[in-house]
Amino acid sequence: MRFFDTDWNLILKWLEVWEKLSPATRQAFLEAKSHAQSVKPEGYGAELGEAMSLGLVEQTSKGTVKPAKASVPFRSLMVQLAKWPLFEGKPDREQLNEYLHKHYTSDEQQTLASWNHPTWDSPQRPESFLEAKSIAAWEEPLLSYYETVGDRYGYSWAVAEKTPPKKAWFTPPETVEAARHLMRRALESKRVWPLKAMAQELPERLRPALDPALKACLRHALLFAALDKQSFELVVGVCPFILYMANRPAPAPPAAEPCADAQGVPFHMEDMTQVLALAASDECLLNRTDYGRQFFKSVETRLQEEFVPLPEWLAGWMDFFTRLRAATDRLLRLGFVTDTCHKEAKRRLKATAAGRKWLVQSPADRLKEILFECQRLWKNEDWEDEDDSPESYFAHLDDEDVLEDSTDADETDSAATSRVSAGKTDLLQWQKSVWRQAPTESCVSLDAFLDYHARVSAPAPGAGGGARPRRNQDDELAKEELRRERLENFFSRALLPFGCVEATGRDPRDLRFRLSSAGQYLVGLKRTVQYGPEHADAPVVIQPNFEIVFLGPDLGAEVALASFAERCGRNVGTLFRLTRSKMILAASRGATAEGVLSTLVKYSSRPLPENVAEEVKSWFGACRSLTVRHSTLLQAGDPETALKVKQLLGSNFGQLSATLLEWPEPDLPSKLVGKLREQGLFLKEDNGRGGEI
Amino acid sequence: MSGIAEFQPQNPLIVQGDHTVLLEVDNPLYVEARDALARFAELVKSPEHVHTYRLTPLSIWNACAVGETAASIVATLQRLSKFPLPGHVGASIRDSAARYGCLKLERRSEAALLLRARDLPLAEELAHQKTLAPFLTTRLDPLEFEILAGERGRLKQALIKLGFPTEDLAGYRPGEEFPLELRAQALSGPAFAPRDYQREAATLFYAGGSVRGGSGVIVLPCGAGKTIVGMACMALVRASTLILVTSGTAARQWRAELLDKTNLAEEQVGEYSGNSKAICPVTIATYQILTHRQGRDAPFTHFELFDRRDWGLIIYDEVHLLPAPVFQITASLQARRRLGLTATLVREDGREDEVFALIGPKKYDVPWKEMEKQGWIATATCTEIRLPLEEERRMDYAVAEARHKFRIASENPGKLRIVRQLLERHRDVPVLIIGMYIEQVDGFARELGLTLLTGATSQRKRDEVYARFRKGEIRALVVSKIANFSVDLPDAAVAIQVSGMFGSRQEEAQRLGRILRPKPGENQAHFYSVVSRDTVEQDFALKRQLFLCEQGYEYRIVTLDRPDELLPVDGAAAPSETAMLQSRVSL
Repeated sequence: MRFFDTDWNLILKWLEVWEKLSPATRQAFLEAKSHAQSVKPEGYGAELGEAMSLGLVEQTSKGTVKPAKASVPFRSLMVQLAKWPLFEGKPDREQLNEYLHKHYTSDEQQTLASWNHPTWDSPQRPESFLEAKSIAAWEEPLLSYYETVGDRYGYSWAVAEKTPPKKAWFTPPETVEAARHLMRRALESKRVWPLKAMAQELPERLRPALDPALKACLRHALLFAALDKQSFELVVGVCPFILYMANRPAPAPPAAEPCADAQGVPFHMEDMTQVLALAASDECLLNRTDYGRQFFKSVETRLQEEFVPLPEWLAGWMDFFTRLRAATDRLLRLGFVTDTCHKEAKRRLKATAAGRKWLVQSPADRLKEILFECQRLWKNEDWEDEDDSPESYFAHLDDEDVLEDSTDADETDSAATSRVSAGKTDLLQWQKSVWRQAPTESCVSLDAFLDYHARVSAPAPGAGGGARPRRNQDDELAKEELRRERLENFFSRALLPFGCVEATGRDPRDLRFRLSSAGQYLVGLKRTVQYGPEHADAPVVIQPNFEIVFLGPDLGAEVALASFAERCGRNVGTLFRLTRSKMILAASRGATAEGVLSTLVKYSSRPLPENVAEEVKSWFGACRSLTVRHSTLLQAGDPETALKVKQLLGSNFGQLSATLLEWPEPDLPSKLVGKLREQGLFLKEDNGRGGEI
Repeated sequence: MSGIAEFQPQNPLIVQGDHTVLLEVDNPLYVEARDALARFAELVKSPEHVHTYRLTPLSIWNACAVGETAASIVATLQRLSKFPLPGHVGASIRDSAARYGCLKLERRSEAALLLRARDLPLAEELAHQKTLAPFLTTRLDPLEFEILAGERGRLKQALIKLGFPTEDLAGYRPGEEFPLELRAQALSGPAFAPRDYQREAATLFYAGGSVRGGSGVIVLPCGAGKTIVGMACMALVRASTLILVTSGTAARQWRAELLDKTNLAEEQVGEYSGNSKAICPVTIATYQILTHRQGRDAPFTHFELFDRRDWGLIIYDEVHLLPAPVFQITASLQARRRLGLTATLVREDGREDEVFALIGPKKYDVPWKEMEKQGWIATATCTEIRLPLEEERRMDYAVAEARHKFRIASENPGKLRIVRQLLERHRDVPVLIIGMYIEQVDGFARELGLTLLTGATSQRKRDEVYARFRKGEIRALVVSKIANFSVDLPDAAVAIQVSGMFGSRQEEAQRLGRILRPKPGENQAHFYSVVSRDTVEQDFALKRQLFLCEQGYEYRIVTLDRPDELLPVDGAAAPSETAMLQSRVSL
């Protein structure tokens, strides 16, 4: 039996007993794990006797106390209701969904959220009930084929097996009147009522209809029942969302407070930089056989060491592999790298010209450019994966809403796409307009900021936020929740990874933040970004002992030098060593001594040591190119035969020795073979098989 | 989060995750940083612009021994670094520092020592270490072990290998008292006083006579006067001294210096070598005689020298050449003060740690370039001249087995022409020509009409030639590798190396050292290395070159394109190569 099918008259009787007991005694009564479990009497305190005399509990032969048999149904209901504190604080949508899931079958849940009715959590629902001219018509879409007991079959089964007809709950008219009375009272008061008090609100003539009215209202989620956590009073009220919206205070801007330890770094950009730097120096090897993009273990290990560490609260969200995938995907999407899986024997990520150009800029310029590029992507790109874009959900709905609303039958597809794009642009502008209001000096609570702006910052007209944000959930709270979700997504997927905010806190729920220089640039408060050291004079030193020391980070230099120097470090310090083997490798790829030396001179902040220059020239000077030519050798058995062959085949043959002839092509023309055969000179392959040519 | 935003470009240090510390020489804070690092880091190399130091447990322990703390070391590094300190480096400094002082070695009796651990877990850990079992035979109480005095050195060695430095407070035998004074005027005439750095080195070694001093290694460039440092230490210790040297010539040089610059009489300084077995209050013995024995398994009979007198100080000259058997006997000499002297604490067998463990930690070290800047050693220019092999030799080289290629390249006849040119260029200064192959050096001596010294030359003849060279009667000498060590030629201004020993860094440094003693006038020395181009000799020369670059020397290369090509000449007498080379190195 489900709780709304309880005998409410019986419950009301027990509530008269219940109200005589203190909260402590009530708690003791509900604490046992099951009805059969007996507990020590101490929990009941001085009220034990009264509880026993009222028939609530009885004492066992061992002196312990357990619920009296008669009180078990009452206890059962109260224990069930105690698990669902529906009216404590701000309603939790996840908890309420769980509540529905627990108490309603899947078909019932679908009807509660169906297109044909205001959803259970919207204010329109009780209003529609109160205003419905025909309650039967109102109720009909909500009915399922279930009996009160043993409801195991869904609609399709019922249709197939022609199960018993639907049972309406708002019959007879007294039930409807009583239900409407209860609803009106609940709505007007905008609070929860102890059930007993609510029952007393009913006119005398409608009291007999209280039980069926309550059953129906609870079944159709017009009323909700719960147990007060402090007093253990049984209370009822309309949907917690409606009550919350009716009673919550006016929105107040979040209070800013100083915070000295807020930090932020554009870790996503830095991650991209590290991957791109490897790609630019041809070190970013990928597993050839993997369908996706699996890096070599050595590459992953190196990148893991290089990726900037994140604070604990963020590290839990963003593990290394998530970051690596995000960085690689972004680089590919921006066209900074290509995946050479089909072009070369060794699969790798290769930096494109655009990627190299981006890489050699100062950190601030790189960040600025990446923020600009990403905004373009957020505006214009069609996302295959919704999760990639904080705006994607709005964007898709924009398509549907805008296209559906179009009355221009002659509108071309491109015009429609433009309108859709315009809709998307508005959303990005909306995000910016919200985040522009974040503090830049002191910090605010992220939660409070999101709550506030989700309430007050409706998206611009024409943007998706104005339309129904979720299927059949058009109440204001749902819209607010969606706006909050979108703002939160933008924070976690756009602002945080790009260092647009500086934050501090122990965990994601406890964050305080402010806009950083990059964030101010993104939202249009600043025209420049301050990040990292200025692109100062080349901090690279080339030592006479062939070491290349970086006194400061210089990615452009790193990338350029990696093509011919042996890497022995990362980021700063002794990063490279000039070695003969690496120079020879560079030579094999087309590098020249002049090119290498000019690169060294270009990046070195000191004069290039003479011995280094000489040694480089010497290494290149020792390289030689050899030409490979394929030819055919004919080995004759004796000089006379060799001469005969030569005479037959003309001057193109070279004579390497008395019996060895060379034809300067990989294959002998068949004409020549034929000529020899005519003279009884047969050619055999010297490959062990001895086949005749 | 990231240290990128915390970049302090004005600071001179970079601390790397592998515990190396890079020091930017051209930085305004260089001197301050260098002096700070010298207290707790080891200088590894000092090429021109960026010097490399390393933080090792030993360097941290040595710093703790003189009162540094982990906090002060970390604070210094943080203050002077361009970037934030890698987290684990700070942690490992603290860990190393925390280990200092947790083990103390004290005197219990004449024949026994006491090893005391700071706490029970440490004592238990030591008790369970297999490598320590032979030493920790008697446990006196939960925290103390009795050790045989003779095992002192080997125990310390084993403990260092396990990562536990031992504060050796067991003290030293004072030895037979033997006061020694340095003269204010040398017997040879000029006024004499140790230089500041020599005095500083000796003071650091002696440490006021406390147990914290009395054992260690002093590293100074060739020509910086390590002999003087040895004498200054003897003057502080004031006890009978045994000096171990590399050759008879070196022994005689020491004797000559001692008699010239101290108040010792001739009968007070004895030589214990192949020629003589005098044991005096100051005795100079060669490594060779000490490690001589009748057969492979026979005992080292001359080790008894260590017990023939109550030595208060043992000096190991050129300690980087300490033969392995002497390591063994040194392990049992821990009760005596021990001083190691060297220019290059680089052993090709990698046993530097044993030197530190058995003789003592590095007490004093000055980069060569610093000494050069201060004028204590000559300014040296190093030039490598590469000339191609002649045509007929190229084929011989190409078809030769790998083990013969080096010799063919080294004995390139074209080198003679280059040497002749260099002799002409430096006609007014004393020159050494050094080679490895006897036939080669013999050929050079004959063709150039110069005196040749090899291992076969008698000692008497060598001394006579050296004396004439010093006086200037002989301007140029051809020498084999005997000249690598302890040849006191203060006025050699040019060294020309025509063949070397398979990339030995130590050899390169020693050869350069022959010409680094300060000279009157310009105080300029020239070091030439002539190698055959595009051969294995050039490859090995690179390795040797690296060592000198890492000492801070600029190593220039002149590449000749033809076997008969002469060195470029700019017309000036004894010119600097710089302008010539700059024009050749066109970028």
